[in-house]
Amino acid sequence: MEDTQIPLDIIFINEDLEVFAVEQGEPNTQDAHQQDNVSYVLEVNKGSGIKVGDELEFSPENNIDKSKMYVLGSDGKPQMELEGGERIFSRPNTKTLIKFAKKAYSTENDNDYMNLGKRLFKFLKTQDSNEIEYVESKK
Amino acid sequence: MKEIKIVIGGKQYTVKLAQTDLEKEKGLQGITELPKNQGMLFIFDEPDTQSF
Repeated sequence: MEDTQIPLDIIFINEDLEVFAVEQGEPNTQDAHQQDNVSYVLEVNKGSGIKVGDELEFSPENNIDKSKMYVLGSDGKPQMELEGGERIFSRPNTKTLIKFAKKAYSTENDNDYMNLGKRLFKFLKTQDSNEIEYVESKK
Repeated sequence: MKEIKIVIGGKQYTVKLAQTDLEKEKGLQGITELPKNQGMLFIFDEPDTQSF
């Protein structure tokens, strides 16, 4: 790397946000580190430990407005303050979870607990695979 | 220059975003010190051959 004064790990990332190559850049050398199909390159200090197969994630904190958020009652007055990072389940999904939870609670049956867990993870997975602030539309 | 937080290889980094041609051209030139949790992320509009 010309004109760069620190030893770097040069991390090549594809459009699926996967690291596919990691090279070492030495300061003030003419070395060229070239790769094809590059969508992102991350440069950090040498010895980062980042390796092929690692995934690049953008932190959800970026660009979030830090001002407060309130849930308002029908009188317009705040009923609850939200800190951010809450998960909110729709009314139908909440009903479903309560139904399965009540069943598991009365039978104390492993299968019923498992079904509750499976439902919950299915809802969580749907939420996680959408943008933050995702709200499921009415069916 | 815009800075964002990323997570990669299980660690969080605060990185400067190099998005314009000028920013990508300049890169980390002139930087003499780089804390271990900082770096620069170069963003390319389309997958292409890149030389660093």
